Amino acid sequence: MDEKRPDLRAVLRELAAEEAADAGPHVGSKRLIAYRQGTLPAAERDALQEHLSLCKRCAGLLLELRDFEAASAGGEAAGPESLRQDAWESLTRRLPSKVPAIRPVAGAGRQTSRVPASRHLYIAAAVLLLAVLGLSVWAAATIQQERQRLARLEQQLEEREEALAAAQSSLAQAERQLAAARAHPEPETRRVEELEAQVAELTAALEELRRTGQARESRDQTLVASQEIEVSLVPRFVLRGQETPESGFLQGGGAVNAVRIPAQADRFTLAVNLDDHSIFPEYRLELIDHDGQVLWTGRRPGRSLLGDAGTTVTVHGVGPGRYRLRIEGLQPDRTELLAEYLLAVE
Amino acid sequence: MRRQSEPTEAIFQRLRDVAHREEGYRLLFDRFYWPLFRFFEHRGFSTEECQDLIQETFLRVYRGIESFRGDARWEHWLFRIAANTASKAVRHRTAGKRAGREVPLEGEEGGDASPAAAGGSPHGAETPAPLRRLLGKEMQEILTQAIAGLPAQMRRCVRLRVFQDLDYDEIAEILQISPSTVKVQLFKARKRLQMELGDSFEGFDL
Repeated sequence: MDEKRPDLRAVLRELAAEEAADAGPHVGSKRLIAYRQGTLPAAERDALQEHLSLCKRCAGLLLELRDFEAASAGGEAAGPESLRQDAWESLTRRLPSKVPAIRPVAGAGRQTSRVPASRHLYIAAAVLLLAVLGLSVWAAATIQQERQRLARLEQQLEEREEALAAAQSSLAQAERQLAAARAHPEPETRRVEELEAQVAELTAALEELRRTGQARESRDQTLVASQEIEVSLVPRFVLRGQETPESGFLQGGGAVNAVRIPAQADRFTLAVNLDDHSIFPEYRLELIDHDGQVLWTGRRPGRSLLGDAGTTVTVHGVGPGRYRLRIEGLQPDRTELLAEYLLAVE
Repeated sequence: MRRQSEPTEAIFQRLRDVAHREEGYRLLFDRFYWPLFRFFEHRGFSTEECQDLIQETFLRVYRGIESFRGDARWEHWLFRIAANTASKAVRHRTAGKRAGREVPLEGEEGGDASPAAAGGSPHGAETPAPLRRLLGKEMQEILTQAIAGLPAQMRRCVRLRVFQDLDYDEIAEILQISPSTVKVQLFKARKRLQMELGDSFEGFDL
């Protein structure tokens, strides 16, 4: 082996570190949960998968979520009972005291038993009892409201901290790009100016985030973070039986997939495999011509599209031209567009 | 033995009912204590820290139970609280380290603050040849382009396998595909990369 040749694994490790730096802001647990439940729109799901492939932390959190779900479902004890008992006892000491809704009633009862049986005193005691009761109810309601307000504020604070971390990450990324652009032997002035403007903008946004501690601004901050997310559509369906530039995969995102029909035949066959896609009860496939007219439509139950074989769709009597193949996932209450491919039939 | 097999929904119904709140709270604690312990332990916290963080999580649950809207699964709500609690603990830990000044102990491994220890070359040690470094940079660029040119799913499989060192099952879990699909994707990726990179990729397995 050539001694001068660099170690490939070392090169890959360095490359991993560089690419991870461009992964963008981390994903919150809320989005990861939505991803795991399959409720994210296709484009967002795709962008998230791209991020997960670059970000060790978020990929790790997703695996932790899986483990947590499994462990929660199992419910088995996984260690010494004494540990759990210790934690419970410490926790009960830290819990806030009970709402004092009953005590005043008992106190008032004792008081009335001591006073002489005078009518005026009974009235006074009753008024006092009512006042104490009213005060207790008011105190309980206030405590309840305050507790809820505190929980809301904590949640908003966490969201704000997440947004702050995202903005810091974006700023660091822009600064890195700027440094790289400056270090280039032939500086592209316009690009540098753009990056400087971006850095200034992000710095201002970061300052704004730091300045504003009020919870109501967290929504705007989250928006700043979400602007970093790249949205794109890529194929997830396998095309078989013909050669395409992508080794048997349909190309999405506006790319045109060449479909060659043999001279003696008037049909072509697509093999659709949903093995790597979240499961819908049913799928609708449509072939649409240049004018938007649906030439063919078919439905397939979700299960039949799984596995290596998938399902095949044979299209007859289609002449040369451009067509769109649209695939939608069907739920009882909604229809989701999963992918759309441009086919150039030749 | 407590009723650990009780459905989570039934436990939370008790929590919302003031008369049964305490009982529900204990059932909830027993049910999620070990999953939470493993979660924090996996993040590198000590047993004592895990105990504290579990308590912190349950205090937040106690305070937030009324505001839970019920539009998410209970265990997911709990997981979010636990993840935020862990992140907060890490931030505090990092902030504490930043505020304090660390004085390295003499002779301790990694304590030498000389330029040589900071990535330079100590006397007698092997110095990375500039030529090798240059070749490494060049290969990095070639690899970046080759990996970027792979189809999306293949590219993601490669990154998760090589950069994050995950096994097939973990990659399948993250990309929500089957392990056999991961295998196929990595096999195809290897062939493509070998074709593009030639000798540089020889002997390397995905």
